[in-house]
Amino acid sequence: MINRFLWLEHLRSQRSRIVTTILRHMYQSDFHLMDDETHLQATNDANFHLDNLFTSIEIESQALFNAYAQWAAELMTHPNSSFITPTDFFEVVMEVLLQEVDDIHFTTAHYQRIKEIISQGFAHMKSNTGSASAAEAPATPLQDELTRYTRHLLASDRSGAAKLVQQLLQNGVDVKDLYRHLFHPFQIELGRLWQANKINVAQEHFATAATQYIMSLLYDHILSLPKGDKVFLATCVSGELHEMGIRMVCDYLECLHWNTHYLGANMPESAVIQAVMENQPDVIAISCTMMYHIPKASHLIQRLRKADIPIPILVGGYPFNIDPLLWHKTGANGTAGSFDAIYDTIETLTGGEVLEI
Amino acid sequence: MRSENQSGHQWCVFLCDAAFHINHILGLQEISFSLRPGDSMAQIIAPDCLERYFTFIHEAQNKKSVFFHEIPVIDSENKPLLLDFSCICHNDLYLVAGTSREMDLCEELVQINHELTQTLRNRIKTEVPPADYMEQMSGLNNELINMKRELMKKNAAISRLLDQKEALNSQLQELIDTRDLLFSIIAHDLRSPLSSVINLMSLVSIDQGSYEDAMKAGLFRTVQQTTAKTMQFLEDLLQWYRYSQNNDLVQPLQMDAGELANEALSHFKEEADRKQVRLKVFGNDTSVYADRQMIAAALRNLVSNAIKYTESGGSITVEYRGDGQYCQFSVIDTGVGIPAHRLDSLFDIKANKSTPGVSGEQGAGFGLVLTRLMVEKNRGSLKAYSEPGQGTRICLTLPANQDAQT
Repeated sequence: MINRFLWLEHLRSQRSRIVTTILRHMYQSDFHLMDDETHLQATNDANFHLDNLFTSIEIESQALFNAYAQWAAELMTHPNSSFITPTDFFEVVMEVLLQEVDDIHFTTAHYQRIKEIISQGFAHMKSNTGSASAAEAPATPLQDELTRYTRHLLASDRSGAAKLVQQLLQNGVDVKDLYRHLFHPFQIELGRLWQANKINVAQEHFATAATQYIMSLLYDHILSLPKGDKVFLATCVSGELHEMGIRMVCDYLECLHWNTHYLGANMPESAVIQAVMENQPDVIAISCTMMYHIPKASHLIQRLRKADIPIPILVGGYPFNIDPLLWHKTGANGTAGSFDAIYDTIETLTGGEVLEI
Repeated sequence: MRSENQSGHQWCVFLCDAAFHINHILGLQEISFSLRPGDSMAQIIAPDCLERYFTFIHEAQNKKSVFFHEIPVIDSENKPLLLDFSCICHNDLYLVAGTSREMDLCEELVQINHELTQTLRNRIKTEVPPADYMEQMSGLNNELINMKRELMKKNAAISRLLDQKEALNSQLQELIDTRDLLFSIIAHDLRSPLSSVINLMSLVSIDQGSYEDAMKAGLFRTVQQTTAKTMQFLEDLLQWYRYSQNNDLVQPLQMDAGELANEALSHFKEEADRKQVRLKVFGNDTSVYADRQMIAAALRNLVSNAIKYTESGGSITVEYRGDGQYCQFSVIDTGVGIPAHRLDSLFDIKANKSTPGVSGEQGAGFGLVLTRLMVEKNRGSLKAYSEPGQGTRICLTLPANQDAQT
């Protein structure tokens, strides 16, 4: 992968200069009037856009770039946002990168590749204007409870939300169903609300932290359930901080008698490899939420294989749900987008019997 | 106190007591108030905004510092002004500053207390944005929850290990108890007959001439029977040990139940005829899934016992019935019956004690214990029903096929 995309590495090495050039083009005479905070935010946005663009090219996923562009367009066109819109930004990117063509490190063909992916992204944004990239979570058997749970946490009422969950347990709701029909749909809804600018980042962080805390109240029950011999080892790649999804998967599998080791967010590769050697899992799961972390997942998988670790590896997270063929490119053995699919997949991979859930 | 400042920007700094009465007016810039020490700060607040003022002072009193509360005030010329008020508390005194630009507040605080406000200025100008605080807090929160999860997993694993240890200890104790019991059984059931044999043979060897041939024949027959029974006991004991230690010896097959029943009875036909005990067998067409040798031996044991405790003229019936899932053999005799207090422990090694048969037959005593082990190794069960004088029925239930749930 690295050999084929040396030109991307060249652009990345010039990124600081390219971003400055882009910002000068965008802000024109206002560039020198930008205060530190605005300059920092604009630079961060620019780097973020470029990371996603370059990664989309590197992993050859138009679908992911389209999804990213639409998401960014919705997020950054809200009245409260003063940040660069993707449309403006990528138009300037094309102008600036055209000047970078030198036919040695970065050729016309490479430029055309970038132009093509951006153009298709624009076309996708245009044809999807008005429809939100983040869909509402489908209705669940615990819809009323989900509504009340959401209301509690958006009103910062953590104890109310915890009491609701305890009540559900007392009423006989299975712990697995809490994950499937309450916690997971809540996180989807939270993401949708944040993207629609209906909640701020503080509310989002609080609600996520509160849900993590409430999930931890269930550990006494979940972790004391009888366990079989099979071990599921899960981690987020280095730099990846979004971990709710993979944590929920681990807790869910504990209810199905798998012994899970969850390493946590932002795990260095060497730590993951060491943990694999120590725990000898039956399945390894690698989670990525941000698109630009996918090359890290690929790299980790390569290192695991080079260390002669034949254990099946699954990859998962938002990008793999957007582009169903993406997992192939990472070198993984598969992916799964739902709790039940994950359970079926790992039982099949390990020659187990898939129990009726 | 006054300070140089940019024109057009107003500020004021007061030192107040706990009730927010003015102790000192420390500085005013391009603003004047009709205030004297002792006056309440509320005097300069716009009348319709007193609630905001009270919120500000309550927060200051609770938290000891509060920043950037926008509160309209009225100056000495009755002009309304909007100032950002901040306040810090020290030793029950409140330093209150109001400014039309919060950054100027910091400049002025530098003037008042250079050391503290230099830090404040640096923090305000170069502070990590709030969003990053939240990221960091979220990260810490995640790590905490992860640690909790790992800790609880380890606790659960330790609990399971402790439970396993308890179970293993119980098993070990059971094995020790069984070993001790076996030794006591061996001591009784081996030593006694061997002692009898040794005594008899000593008598004969000392004075062979005193014994008539018939008497000698009787003695030798007794010796032969005793040693045979003792041998049987040893065989049973060894079988019991082998089966209890090794599950691989069980080799189940699908068999015809009737064939097994007939075989068990035919083994004892001669003995039954001698004792004038009738043997009967009947049942439906059913199969059984078990180890042939073991179940055949189990049935023989039960029939042998039945003969032992059935008087001349009585009968022994072996009945076999199946429903597709299970096959039940019943060995029914019209013998002396078993007292209630012995029924529950009939197959229990701990309560093992042989009783002589109705015709004086000597039992080795281990047969039923071995029978129970062989039945259980084949996923079966044993149950005895009896009353003294009413005969005995022993039911042996086994799976009829490999898939039968037991």
